[in-house]
Amino acid sequence: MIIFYNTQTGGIVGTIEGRVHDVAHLNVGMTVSGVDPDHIDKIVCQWKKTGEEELPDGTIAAIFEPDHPQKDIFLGLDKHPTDVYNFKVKLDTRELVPK
Amino acid sequence: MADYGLKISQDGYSITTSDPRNLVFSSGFNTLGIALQGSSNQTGTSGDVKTFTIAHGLSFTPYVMVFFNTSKYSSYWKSLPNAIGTTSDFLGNKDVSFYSDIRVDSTNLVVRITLNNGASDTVTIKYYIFNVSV
Repeated sequence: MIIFYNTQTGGIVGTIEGRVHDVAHLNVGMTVSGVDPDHIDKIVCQWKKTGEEELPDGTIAAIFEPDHPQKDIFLGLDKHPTDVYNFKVKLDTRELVPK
Repeated sequence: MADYGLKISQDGYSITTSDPRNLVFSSGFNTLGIALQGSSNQTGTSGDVKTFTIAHGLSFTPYVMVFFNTSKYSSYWKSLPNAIGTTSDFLGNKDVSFYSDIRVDSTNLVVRITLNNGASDTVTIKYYIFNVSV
């Protein structure tokens, strides 16, 4: 997930959903009315492969998880992406904190 | 159509003899893949015009779909563009009126919504940008 936020207020203005983002996604920009585009920054959470597991039918499945210090939050956002708007960004640490 | 490629049929249909409409996937047809999806969110009061701009980075004008909801009516998503005017929608809600539209070109997807909720409200859009040109 890529999260766009207001660097003056910490308010989250938008997202790009997904787990692994290529250069095309990283180059996407987002602006909203009333916010200077220069005051919008982004937080990128990429997912990484952490292992493999064999399923009962013999299929080998990859295991992925968020490669981010706030892993648990991004696991939740993976299931409910618009819950991101229940958070804001703490400007000095760039951490997600509940509103 | 070439006699080679990939096909996946629905359960119960033969991969070799079934009609194309009974295939889940066939490399013989273009697929409507999602290049980009996400959301955006703004808060305002009645009369505010809220614009959302996504610089999608594609080299063509993509086919898009956009839905929205508001914090006042958050239990369902409605498709855009939407023009309710001054009357209620079929659920009896006047959550968005006056004007809302979508514009897309080879650079930006722009969504514009005028709020009409009276009090402060938050509008969230969900956008889907496809890898197919309009």
